[in-house]
Amino acid sequence: MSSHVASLLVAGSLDALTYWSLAFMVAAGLTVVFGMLGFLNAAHTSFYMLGGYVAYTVAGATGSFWAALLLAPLLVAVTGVILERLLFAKLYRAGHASQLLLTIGLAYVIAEASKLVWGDSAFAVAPPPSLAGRITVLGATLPVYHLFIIGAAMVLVCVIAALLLGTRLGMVIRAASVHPEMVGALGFKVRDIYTLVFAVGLYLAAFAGVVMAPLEGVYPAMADDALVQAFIVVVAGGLGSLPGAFIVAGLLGLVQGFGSVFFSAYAMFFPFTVLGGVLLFRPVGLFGAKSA
Amino acid sequence: MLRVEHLQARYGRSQILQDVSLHSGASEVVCLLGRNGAGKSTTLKCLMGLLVPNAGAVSLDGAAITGLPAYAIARRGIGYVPEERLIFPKLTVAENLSMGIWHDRSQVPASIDRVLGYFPRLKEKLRARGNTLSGGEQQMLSIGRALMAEPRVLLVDEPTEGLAPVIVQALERTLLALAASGTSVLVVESKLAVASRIAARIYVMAKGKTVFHGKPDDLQDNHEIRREFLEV
Ligand SMILES: Nc1ncnc2c1ncn2[C@@H]1O[C@H](COP(=O)(O)OP(=O)(O)OP(=O)(O)O)[C@@H](O)[C@H]1O
Ligand SMILES: [Mg+2]
Repeated sequence: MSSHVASLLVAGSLDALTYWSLAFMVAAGLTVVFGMLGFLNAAHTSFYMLGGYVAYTVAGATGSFWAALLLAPLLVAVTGVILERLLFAKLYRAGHASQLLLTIGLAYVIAEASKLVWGDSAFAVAPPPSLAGRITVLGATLPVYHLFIIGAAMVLVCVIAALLLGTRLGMVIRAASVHPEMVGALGFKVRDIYTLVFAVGLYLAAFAGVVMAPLEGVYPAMADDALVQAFIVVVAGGLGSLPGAFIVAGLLGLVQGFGSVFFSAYAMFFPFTVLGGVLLFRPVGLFGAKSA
Repeated sequence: MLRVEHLQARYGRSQILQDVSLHSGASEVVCLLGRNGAGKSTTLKCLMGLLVPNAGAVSLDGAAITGLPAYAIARRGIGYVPEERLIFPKLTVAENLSMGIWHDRSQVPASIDRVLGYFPRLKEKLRARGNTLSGGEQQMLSIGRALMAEPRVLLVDEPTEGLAPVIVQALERTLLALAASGTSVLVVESKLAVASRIAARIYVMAKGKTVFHGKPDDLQDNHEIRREFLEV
């Protein structure tokens, strides 16, 4: 009996960590772009979906998941940069209503365009053979691929933290997130810094879309499913706060991971429970500024 | 050096700057005086490219810089010390200073040494975070940061506001020393006393216009201007 509980706990923890990793990768770009640029991107998870679809195509063409993991996020990030230059940047100061109008519209355009290219059925993407197996820990059989997702997310988070906290470019980005006009008045092209931040956020979202593909496949509603969760993470974490998003993604992971092991029938309500719980005690979100 | 002719600017629909003309030459401190809301800070923002003027011309050594973005104006050799100081709160003092060099990071150590020559008090604070500094130290840091790239023109907005007399005196000496070393220093002030001590020339602004220009003594003697545009 107790070994049964132990294996459930192990399985739940792995699910929790996997979900945490994915939720944070998707939400990180959304919250940073909002915090730094004041830009609310309702099409953010459309890039997550594009990551999945492009990965499906690349994996199909090359026969290699690794090629897809390498190429798809880059391609999506480049597309995002072009859109940022042509469309988004014009609305950085235009207010959230116009930004939402534009990006909700864009989300529809991306969804319809994807259907034209890929049709409206779901596709499975196979994990690479080296990660396809399972290992047994304390009586629980765990997919190796989940461990890979967690590892990849940890590497990405560490790389980004190291860039932000340990390099001169990271210092300029942190400065620009507080006083962008001053950074400009010191000779830096804040415009380019914004584009870079946007690109990294979309890269992460698309990366999440690629690693998600072998788990749940790629399908047309992928963007919408992720959008609600991403907004929950961003709002409950405090708009614009990366540490806040990290913690709330973790909370979501916990309730999702253990909830779906123990009370799977109610799993779809858990994210809203987390959102409601956090906002009840801190209406501005965990790390939100006092005046929102 | 820096020349401003009939500058006009607005925030939204309200025309804040109506007609601002001034000139700031090499090796001199020039003060811009005026009551609260006269448009002094707005003028500096326009000169720095943080606000795009809707009429008028700004030139640096004869080359037009009107309407250029802030980074381009900074790169041409104009330094800016905003009224709010805008220290980066979570960066250390050394990092805040290094933000003053956008192009060649190898120059940072030498520039920090040079700036610490003006503000020795910052030396023992180099590793402290910006948000742990006193008001006076923040002001020194904000000026120091602007000096890192050795600007030809330094725009300083109310540097003495809210600071103790000793620190005000120290800042006045620094601004004079900068001018003596060739920099053109344009200082926004609200106190005539400070302006009289440091300025070679004074402009008075009211309701978005430059309404007086002269030497500090001329202004001392001009009771009308003082009563109408400066005294409360
Ligand atoms: N961002 C803004 N939006 C709208 N109006 C503004 C803005 N900033 C300043 N103003 C208005 O422009 C006018 C001039 O302001 P400015 O800050 O240039 O005055 P100032 O001479 O620097 O005054 P002070 O001595 O109080 O600093 C004021 O009436 C102010 O209300
Ligand atoms: Mg002012």
